[in-house]
Amino acid sequence: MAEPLPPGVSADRMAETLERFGQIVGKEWVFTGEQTASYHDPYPISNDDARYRAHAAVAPASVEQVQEIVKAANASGVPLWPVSRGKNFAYGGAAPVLSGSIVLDMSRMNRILEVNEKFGYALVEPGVSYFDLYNYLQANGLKLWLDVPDPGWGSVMGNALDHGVGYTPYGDHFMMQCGMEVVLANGDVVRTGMGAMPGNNTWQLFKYGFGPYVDGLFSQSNFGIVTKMGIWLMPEPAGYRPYMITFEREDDIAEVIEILRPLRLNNVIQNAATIRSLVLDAAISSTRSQYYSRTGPIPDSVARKIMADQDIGMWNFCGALYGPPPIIDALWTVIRDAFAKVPGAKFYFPEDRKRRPDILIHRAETMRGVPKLTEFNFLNWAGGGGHIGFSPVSPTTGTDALKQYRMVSGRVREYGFDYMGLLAIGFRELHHVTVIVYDKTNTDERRRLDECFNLLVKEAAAEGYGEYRTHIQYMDAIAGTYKWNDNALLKMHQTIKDALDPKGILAPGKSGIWPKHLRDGRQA
Amino acid sequence: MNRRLFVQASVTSLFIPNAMIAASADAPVPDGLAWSYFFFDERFAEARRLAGKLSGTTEPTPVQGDITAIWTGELGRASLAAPMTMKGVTTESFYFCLKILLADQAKVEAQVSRIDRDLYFWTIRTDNHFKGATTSWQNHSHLA
Repeated sequence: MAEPLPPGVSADRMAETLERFGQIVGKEWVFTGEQTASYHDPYPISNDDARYRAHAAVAPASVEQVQEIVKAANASGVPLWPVSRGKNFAYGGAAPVLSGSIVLDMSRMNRILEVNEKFGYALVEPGVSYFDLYNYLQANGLKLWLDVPDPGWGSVMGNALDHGVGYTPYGDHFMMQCGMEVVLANGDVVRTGMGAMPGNNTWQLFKYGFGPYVDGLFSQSNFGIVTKMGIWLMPEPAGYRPYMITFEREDDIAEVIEILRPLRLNNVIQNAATIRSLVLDAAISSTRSQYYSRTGPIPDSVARKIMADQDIGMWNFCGALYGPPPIIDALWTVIRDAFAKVPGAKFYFPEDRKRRPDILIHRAETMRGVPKLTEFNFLNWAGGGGHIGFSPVSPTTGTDALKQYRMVSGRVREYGFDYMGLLAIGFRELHHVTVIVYDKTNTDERRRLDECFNLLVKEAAAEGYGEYRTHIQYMDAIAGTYKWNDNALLKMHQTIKDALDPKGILAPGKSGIWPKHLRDGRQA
Repeated sequence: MNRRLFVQASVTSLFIPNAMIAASADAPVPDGLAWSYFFFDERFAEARRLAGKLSGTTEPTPVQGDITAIWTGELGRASLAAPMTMKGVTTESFYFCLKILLADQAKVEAQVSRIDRDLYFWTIRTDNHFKGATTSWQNHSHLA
């Protein structure tokens, strides 16, 4: 199919704009026609192929080129969709919300500008992946650890800007961000925090600078293009002990969360730990057809068989301890004694695990910041390789965890999918990430998934649970649930959008924020 | 220098007959290219069987779904150094991850067919490598 044009942009104007982009970056870095295939959503949900399709892509190599591109886009009114590395695959990859947009592919800007071992930080460009930064630390013998999300090929910057999480004590990536450089829609370049002061030497050390703290405005937003970002790195600890605790019954999740909350608040549980469901963990090393050949969710008897085969629980809590061995020993004693109250709880260290592949052996690497791609295995659970995350946030209480689990798992199973979920433990909240794995080649499954997902969003919102992140197809729906006081927050976002990007050339529709000329008929 | 390059992929219909797989596997290899790898997912009997039948003179490499160790241990560097032709009978995610990783550093052509619910038979060819291609961490510099 012909690549679409954005609303209000003629083919001639698009061609002129692409010609100008070619003059800025070199023609070989402007991708059109079939070359745009790698910017498609690899896990589409919509059965309408015309949605979420880029017209073309342009890949700058410098801040100056980014400035020139946004000036040209402003002149022509052609919208840009910036991506760091375009590997945000469960959320649309590099595909734009607005069809016809030009993907601004920042992956050529891939320099690690500074790594400071003394203070524990790195300053990176958008194209630097977790693999890149890990390899750099290893090659230079630096005593620093990364915090990685599950896919190691993603952008360090992009993941933080999308509020991604990892699994070490530095697991909240945006919390560990410090200092940005941003190209605004008019081409101006801004440095945030201490970076605004000429000659400063604390840009990556102190987040707030003086005056309003604006870094958050550039996360999950379309207010600017971040071209540099500081990220704090964890000093290599004196000791490390990963562990796993398994629980036998679905309803154990309520008691587990109640035990866990004070331990996490008091930093006895030090890392961004996760409690993962049976099927999610089983799918790391096996597929559904190895246990069950019928359609519909797996029955309890099959679940019990998987638990026995793989020596895992209905819920599996993976955590890790970091620090001098005597401290680790003391913390472990507290954790073990606390969870031993749950009937049937079992405790494991990596040396206890004999089966390969094994979930704790795998998670033990992730929890010390080794980038991997292992989690892609779970996409194979049902065959067909598609997946999407539904990720509502709740308080860290047993009541909420059980309520969410029953709500979401019930709906997911009703629509014929197995429940595959994890509870990512923040200090005071849970990200309940439910992964729905589907056959991306099956149009009926995609239709059912879309219906199920929309229902989940509405039902969660009705109970006061909001999603922290979502696929491009659901950005309007999720933004629409944050509607307190007649959509006051969205209206404020729109005011900022109109001020910073009056022509609306940056990522129209990102997080439900549309420019004025495309706002008609949409909420607020 | 990383570069996003076109991935040409074709997907045939579900559950293709084995005879067609064999015919595809026996297709001539382009001049100057040899099968660099034949991957098979050793967890599945059908993958083991097809590896024995289709790998030809290439020693088949067993995998268990995850590409991480193969890529970081050897394949990532090797695929930077020279064009490659790879085949495999694996799960979809192994093929998907390999294709994406390779596309960051080379032009990729891929064909894939689905064998059954779990397994895919695929071929990936890489070409037109850029001289001096590096991973980004090698481009390290200090901020001016």
